[in-house]
Amino acid sequence: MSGSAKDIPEDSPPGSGESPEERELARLREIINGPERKELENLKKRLDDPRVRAREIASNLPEAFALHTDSGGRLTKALMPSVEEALQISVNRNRKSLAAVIFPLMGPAIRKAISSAIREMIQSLNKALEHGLSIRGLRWRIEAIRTGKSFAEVVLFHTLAYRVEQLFLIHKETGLLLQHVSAGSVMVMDSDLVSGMLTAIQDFVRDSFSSKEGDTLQTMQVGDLTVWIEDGPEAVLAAVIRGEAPEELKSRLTETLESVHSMFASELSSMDGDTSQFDRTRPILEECLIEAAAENKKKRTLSLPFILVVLVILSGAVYWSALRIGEGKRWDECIARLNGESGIVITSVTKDRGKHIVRGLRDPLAADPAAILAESGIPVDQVEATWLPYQSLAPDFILKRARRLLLPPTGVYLSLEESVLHVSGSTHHKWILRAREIAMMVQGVDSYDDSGLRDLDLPRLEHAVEAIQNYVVRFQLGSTQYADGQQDVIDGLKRDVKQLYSLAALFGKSVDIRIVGHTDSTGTEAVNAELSLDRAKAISQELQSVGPRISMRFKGVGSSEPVRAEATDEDRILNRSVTFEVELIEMSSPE
Amino acid sequence: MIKKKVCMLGSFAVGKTSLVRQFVQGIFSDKYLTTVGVKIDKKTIELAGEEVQMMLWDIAGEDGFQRIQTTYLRGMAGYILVVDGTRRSTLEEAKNIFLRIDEMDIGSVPHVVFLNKIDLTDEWELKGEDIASLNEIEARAFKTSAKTNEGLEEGFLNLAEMMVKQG
Repeated sequence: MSGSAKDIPEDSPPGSGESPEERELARLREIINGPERKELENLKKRLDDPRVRAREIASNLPEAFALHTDSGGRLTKALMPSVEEALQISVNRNRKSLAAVIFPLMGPAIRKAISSAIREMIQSLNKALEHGLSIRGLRWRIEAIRTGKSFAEVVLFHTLAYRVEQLFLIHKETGLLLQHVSAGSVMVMDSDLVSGMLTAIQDFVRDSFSSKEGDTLQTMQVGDLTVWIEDGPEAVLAAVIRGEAPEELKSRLTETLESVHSMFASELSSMDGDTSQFDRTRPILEECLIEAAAENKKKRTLSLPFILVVLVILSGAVYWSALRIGEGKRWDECIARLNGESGIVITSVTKDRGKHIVRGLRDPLAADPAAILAESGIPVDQVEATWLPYQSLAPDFILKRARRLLLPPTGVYLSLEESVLHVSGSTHHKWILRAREIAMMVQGVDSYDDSGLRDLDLPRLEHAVEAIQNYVVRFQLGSTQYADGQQDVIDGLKRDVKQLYSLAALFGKSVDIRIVGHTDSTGTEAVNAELSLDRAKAISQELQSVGPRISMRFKGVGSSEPVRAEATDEDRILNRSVTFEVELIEMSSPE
Repeated sequence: MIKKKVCMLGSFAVGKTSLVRQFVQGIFSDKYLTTVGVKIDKKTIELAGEEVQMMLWDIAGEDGFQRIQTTYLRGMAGYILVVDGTRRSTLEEAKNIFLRIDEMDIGSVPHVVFLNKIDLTDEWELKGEDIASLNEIEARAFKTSAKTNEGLEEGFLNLAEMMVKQG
């Protein structure tokens, strides 16, 4: 833009009809306002062009931020939502990049948290073990039951008597004491020097024993004093504790140190030796001067739980001794009962290591001693019994043995009278024979008497003989042919003969059957004699089929020995027949 | 109150410990020096109406066998190099210490040199050029004596001024 007045009469009206005065006035205006107007135009251009403005703000921004930091954090507050949002977007878009940034911080933080948690756990476990078995531990256990608290809680309550006596807030880099608080009556050495030396010792320990950057001396123990040192990025908090402090206190110290760091961040990082600015940490630190009351050393009174325990123990003892007395009495009774039992003889009763030892003799047929013990209420495992077998000669045992051996069937009764075994009742012949054979084998039986015993098979034998003798087998007139319906009779005859034979054998007898043939009185005697013999012969052959060992004789008597005296035809029919005679013969030997 | 960490450095037996013993209040015995390698005392002085508390870290003497534990130097606001005026070699060692601190990359740290044992005039070895050579290490020197207290007050005051000025 040129400085000529002709060029820029922008604010003067156009046209050539201007007076020279007016032109002069415009020139004068131009001379007076010209430079300011140019500057105004420049400014206008700067304000109107956003690119220029952005460039300028960009160049001033760091300075502006620096200026703002001191003014009460208003800028920080204003920026916070935007920053938070930006972080959110960043996280949503790419988690990996943010993870990479915070990773180096996460590891140590997590490790520290875990190791601190484990230390806390081990401490409480150690305490529980330490106190778990002592008398005091027992008392606390009862208290835990009584109050419903966990045992660990009770132990901690009683044991953790401690007092935080002093706290040193120390500037980490210089070792200068920023703040010191102490509990009322504690004698305090020069805290500045202690602070410095504490730092020096930490350095010394780290340099001497550890190569790792982050490792610090955390605990020092002197007598019943413990110094816990919490390490922060800018400051260190050292607590001098008398007694046994719980691990929770450590977390408390960590939290305190953290809040000091957050509240005095700028003061800490720009520490130039002016420690007065840290006077405001006093209230926070003083809160950590914790005093935990110890278990009161009360004068010994009999507490309720103690009395209860004594009562329980006493009543237990009384019950036990009553039990023992009762047990002893029961045992004596039991032994007496065993001794009284027939078939049982006790030879010795002793006691060994709480066990009753019993030795004796026992007839196998005697009562079971274990059952007697059980009835007496004495536990089987408390008794060790040894029984040698023997045979009792008591009458009831002789009878028992006889019964076991003879197995008398129902209806047979055994009795013993001065070593004589009497048998009465009734039974089959077979048993009678066997009993006679073996009765004398029974221990304690000298003789056997079965005269009182009725043989049930004897009447059957007599009956069988009679039955056969009652048979009449009829024949047709003048013939050896059976009369009508006689086949049934013959079958019955055969059956009965067979039975007779077996019954007779049982009694050791042989059977002799005589078959007698008959005729009626008609016809000649010679013919009749022959006919009757033929008839007897025919039956004899019939009976041969019953068994080969049947001994039979036959004869014909004609009409000389009629079955019935002949008067009618009926009598004659009956006389045309065969009859039987039976004889039992004692066998010399029962083979 | 302003507190400053100050380290006392120098060769073995130059009299650092005697110096501070004359000058300061302390609670720890000299045994700490041989065990932990450091002993801390404090000296409070008044500077322009304000109290400055100097925490004096008396660090075990350096010689061929024992080097200063540099961890103890961390965070110091100033340091005093102590030289035994009767042993010229200790001046060179003081210079070496300065160079090592200079290499530590902790910026320019205010420091002064105490030429100690000035009371032993007969055995004094340092000459004018030796003292002038201290310009190399940008240090003001004070002739001091733990026996007579000569130069001590002045020396400490000077260091305090420098430290406070540095901030």
